[in-house]
Amino acid sequence: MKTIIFLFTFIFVSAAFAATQHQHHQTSTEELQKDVKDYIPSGELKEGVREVNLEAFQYSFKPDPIVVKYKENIRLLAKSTDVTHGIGIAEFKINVALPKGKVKKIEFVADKKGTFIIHCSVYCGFGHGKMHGRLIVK
Amino acid sequence: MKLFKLGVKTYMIVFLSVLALFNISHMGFVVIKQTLGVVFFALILDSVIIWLKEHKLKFSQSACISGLIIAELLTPHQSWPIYVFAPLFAIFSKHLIKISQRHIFNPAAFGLFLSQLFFPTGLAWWAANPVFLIIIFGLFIVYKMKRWELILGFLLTASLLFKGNLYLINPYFMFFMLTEPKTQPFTKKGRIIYAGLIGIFAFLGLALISNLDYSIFGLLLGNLSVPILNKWLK
Repeated sequence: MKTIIFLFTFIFVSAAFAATQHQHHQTSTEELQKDVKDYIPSGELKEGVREVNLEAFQYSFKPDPIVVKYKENIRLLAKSTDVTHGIGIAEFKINVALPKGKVKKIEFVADKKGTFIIHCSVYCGFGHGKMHGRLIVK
Repeated sequence: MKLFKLGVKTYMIVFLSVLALFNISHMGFVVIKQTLGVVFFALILDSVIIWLKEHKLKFSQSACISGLIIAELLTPHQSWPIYVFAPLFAIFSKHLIKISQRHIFNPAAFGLFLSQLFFPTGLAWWAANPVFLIIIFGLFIVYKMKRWELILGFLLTASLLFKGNLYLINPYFMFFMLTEPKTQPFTKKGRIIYAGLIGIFAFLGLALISNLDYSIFGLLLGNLSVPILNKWLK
């Protein structure tokens, strides 16, 4: 019985801690939503395609956020400046590995509106799980 | 103390659940939905197969652990077939790909590997935080299992090969996946060689294969070497 109580307490305390952290996270997301209209599109338009240079490094993406317009054709020219990273944007079915120094071309159409999380899809070190960027399609 | 008499699998389930809860802070509640869904599906599928084979209703802890690991590695916000097929591949490999009544592949690794082949998915390893907690939990699991040779063999080889990039050694992988009991060699010497081989294969995976996770790739190749090691070191 003591064991069960201990395990429940352990999980409950973790959940309580996580919930307080989540509240903070939610606030930041709300703040972000408010300002979406103020963001200027990233990169530049070249023959109808928005081209954005994207850098990945431990443990961030630059620029963050990447801002594009709805229905635009997007070309990301992505590279890693330190170790191998990856770009994963699940909603756009993108998963591309970025070995250090190589420029990878990623093309897609921004056909969904919203804020999407860019994950690093190759384990790149102790901060990997927290390496996120944002793609804003407005 | 009674608490320390719990099985290793129970501890694994508790520790992996705690890690999932801790990471809500930066991932959002979507990861909890993902975790519950994958674990539920893995448990149901595993119990159906057990029922078909033994006519017994049983929910195995190992299926729960496989589900937790799969959910905690998969990138969130993906299309639903990935969350179905990853545990499906894992549980089928556990029951169908066997030598001498032991499954060959780490089920979670096998499920994730095939998912990466069939779907454009990377592995976010979103629950591989915070590192200090993983190390504490991991050391406890290894202490309970008495499998220090696995950790030492892997660390030694990976440290030599990864040299300046020691942070590429993934503690979540090392403590919770490498230590899977059914896919290890029988002897201590075999386990040291096995762990070392996984370090070598993971290094080669990082250097040569870009779209598959190098740790998972290394582990599966290492799993394949186990029957040979068992025969050789008998």
